[in-house]
Amino acid sequence: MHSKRKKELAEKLEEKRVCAFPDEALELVLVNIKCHKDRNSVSLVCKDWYNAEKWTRTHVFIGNCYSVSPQILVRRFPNIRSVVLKGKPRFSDFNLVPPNWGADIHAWLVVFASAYPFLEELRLKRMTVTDESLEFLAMSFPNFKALSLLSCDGFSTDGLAAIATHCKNLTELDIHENGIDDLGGGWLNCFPKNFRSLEVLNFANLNSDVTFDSLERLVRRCRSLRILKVNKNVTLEQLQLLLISAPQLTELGTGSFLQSSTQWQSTDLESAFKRCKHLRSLSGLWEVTSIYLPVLYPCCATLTFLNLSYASLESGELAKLLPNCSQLRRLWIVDTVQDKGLQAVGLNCHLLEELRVFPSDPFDQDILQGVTELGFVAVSHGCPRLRYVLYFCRQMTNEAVSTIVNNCPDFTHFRLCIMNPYQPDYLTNEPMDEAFGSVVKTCTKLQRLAVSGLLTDLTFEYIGKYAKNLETLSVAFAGSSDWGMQCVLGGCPKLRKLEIRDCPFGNAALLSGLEKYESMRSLWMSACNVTMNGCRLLARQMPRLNVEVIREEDERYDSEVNKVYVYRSVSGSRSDAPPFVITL
Amino acid sequence: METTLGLLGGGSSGGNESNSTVAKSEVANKEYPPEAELELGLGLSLGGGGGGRVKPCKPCAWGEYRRILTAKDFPSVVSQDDSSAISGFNRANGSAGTKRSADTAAQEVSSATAVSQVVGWPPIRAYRMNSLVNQAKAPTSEQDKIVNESDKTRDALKGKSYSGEQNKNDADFREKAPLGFVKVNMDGLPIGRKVDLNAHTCYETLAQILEDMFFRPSKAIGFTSSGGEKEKGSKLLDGSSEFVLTYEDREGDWMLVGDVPWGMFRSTVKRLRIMRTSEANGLAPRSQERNQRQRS
Repeated sequence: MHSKRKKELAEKLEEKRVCAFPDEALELVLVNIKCHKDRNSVSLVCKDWYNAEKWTRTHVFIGNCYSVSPQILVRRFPNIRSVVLKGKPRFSDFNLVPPNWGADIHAWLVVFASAYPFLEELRLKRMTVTDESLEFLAMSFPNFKALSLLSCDGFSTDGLAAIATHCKNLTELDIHENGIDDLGGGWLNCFPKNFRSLEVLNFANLNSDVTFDSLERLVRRCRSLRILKVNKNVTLEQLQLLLISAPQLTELGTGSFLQSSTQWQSTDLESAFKRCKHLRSLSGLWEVTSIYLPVLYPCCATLTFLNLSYASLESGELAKLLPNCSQLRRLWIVDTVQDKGLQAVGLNCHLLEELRVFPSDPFDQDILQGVTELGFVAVSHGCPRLRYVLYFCRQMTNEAVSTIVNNCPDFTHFRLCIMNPYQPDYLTNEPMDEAFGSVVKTCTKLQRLAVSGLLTDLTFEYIGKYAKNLETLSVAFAGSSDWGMQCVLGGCPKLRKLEIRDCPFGNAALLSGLEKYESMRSLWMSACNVTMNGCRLLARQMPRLNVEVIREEDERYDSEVNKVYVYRSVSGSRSDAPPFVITL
Repeated sequence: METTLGLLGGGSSGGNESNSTVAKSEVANKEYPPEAELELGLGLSLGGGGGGRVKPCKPCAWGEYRRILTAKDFPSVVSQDDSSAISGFNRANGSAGTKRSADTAAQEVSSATAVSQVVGWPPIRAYRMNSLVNQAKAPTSEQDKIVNESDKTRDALKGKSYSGEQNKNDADFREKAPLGFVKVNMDGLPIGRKVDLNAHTCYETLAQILEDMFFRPSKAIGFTSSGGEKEKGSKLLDGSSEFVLTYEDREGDWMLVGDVPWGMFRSTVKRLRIMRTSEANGLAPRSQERNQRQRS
């Protein structure tokens, strides 16, 4: 009996193997799955699928560079061609993280050089990148194609020169809003004379002149160039020449419109713009004025993204421009357009999905300028498809926000910044709790929320209870007690990033999230009521979390914690922590 | 609503930018007497009213000004219940601290002070901040200073806030602002406005614009009045409203608007204030005289 049973089992296994999906076929299918969330799911099915997925994954996204080590990464995924890495906590954008905090790319590059010699793409956000690293990158990866640096620091134009010189197959160079040491525009001359593969070139961030001849020749020979964003030193006349050479552009960032010579004709520029029939995105536009705006009208018809955030337009100018932009999906503007300008947005851009209004004068708090709740309401009336908003203002009311979300219930990203901390509803003098309450109750798809104004714990009760899809929450100068933060940590099942500053949340609040933090990417708390004891307790209870206290020199009391950063990690505590980062 | 008082004797409303920050105190001191004198000025000013246009020596004028507007005129920013929020906020200010006048209670924190001394607030990325700074029209020396300041911010932020330095530079070149923009503040409203005097050639149109701005804001931005805003008064110039329009001239004196020819007004005006008629004691009689003269 015993041996018969064995035989049966053996036959069954044989059958299974014959009917089993061959690995090669599985891999062929999996190659087409791009989304990393889907791939994560695939790898959990069974051992075979885990392996197949492992060998076919070519792109990896790492939201926190300290959550995993490069060694673990290359062991897990041996075949990576494209990496996205994010480093510092987001509040480093606002100078809340001291310099030399970490997130240096170099250690990663060294490991990649041996494990991924065929690496093609590297996209970094908030990482420290030195010129040495850029040179190392350029020399180590012969197939390297795309480099994108956003909000990074530590490098200079010399690093860019190295990239231009050595990356023979470069298709993308995207240098975007970084703390870069601009030593001159000579780097652009380093592209070899026969180099023609560039598709994306963005150096809008840089301040020094590039040699225009080099740029023009580069643009002319790169026939596949589709994205070109120049810096403000490129004049209108030069821009016109570039446009003539590259009418195939889909995304254009202009130089400055400040024109000192009156001789030059704008009609030539207008016809140059007219030739760009494929333009989807327009940015730059520094110092553009009423005289030159009409030049843009012809190419506005196809625009889906218009970035006017470096052009301080008046309401009238915007009102004349927008009727030409009926296809707009994304609009970034400065609050100099005022409520009247926003009214024009509501009247003309019915397909609008994203609106960002930046303040022109963020520190002059005692003058009512910029936009108010009225402008936002006007946009919401005309743009029901709005799903992403970033709005800086000086006054707001609960009723206005309620109206706005009733007009636009599909918000996925709602970032409202009432610039005076603790400012109540200016008409009723009440807290802004009901405003954000209506946001989370109405916008069921909400993924990202930034709150402001005078807020009590009630706001956070609402958030915890209703924001079922919320992944990122930014809080500043809000809340009345620990209870607020506890509500958020006790609710919000999909919460991944929580960043808090200047709130009365203490150890009880911090510790109430013990079980939550491992399912989150990170927690940042600064200028709250958290102490060393609380942080130590958290670190002790949760060994798979890194609890890092940032201790700056002028802090006197050892028990005080001004800044704490908590994140999950499979690679243990950092080995490169600077002296002011205390890992508990 | 917020109060923007609480600094340097606390006599002015939110329109007084030089009250706002510690960093700006150097600027402020040029224009206002030191605090010790202010406190004396408080006592002396009680009898110092007098009718008509007041043009006494500076400390008395300052005292006079203080008598018209005191801290009690302005509601506090946050109710007593939110003291924990305020104390948390004060701690956040850390080394910068807030200046307070003798009058105001500890709770009344100038939000203007607070914002400009808080690191990283409003949350605008450093790159965009630098662009804003570089775009502003300022004399070259100021420009260089600003660029240096913004470079500094990338390196070290020991105690000093980026925002504070920024604000000081903003103050410097705001005072040299081009065009004819002057600040306008109204009693009871902590947030003021700016109006372009170059767009006007007479008092009537100016008053009209100001009335639209402050009493009928919906109309001012092109929306039809929905009745949400109460009509607070009619003409500012003829004394029939509960408010009067006044201005501060180059010498720091506060006068009624409308008394001098437009051109002269235009050349000496520094900023405007819409004052409650009841508060404008020293200036009101003049207005009545003028009305009587007009009627006769």
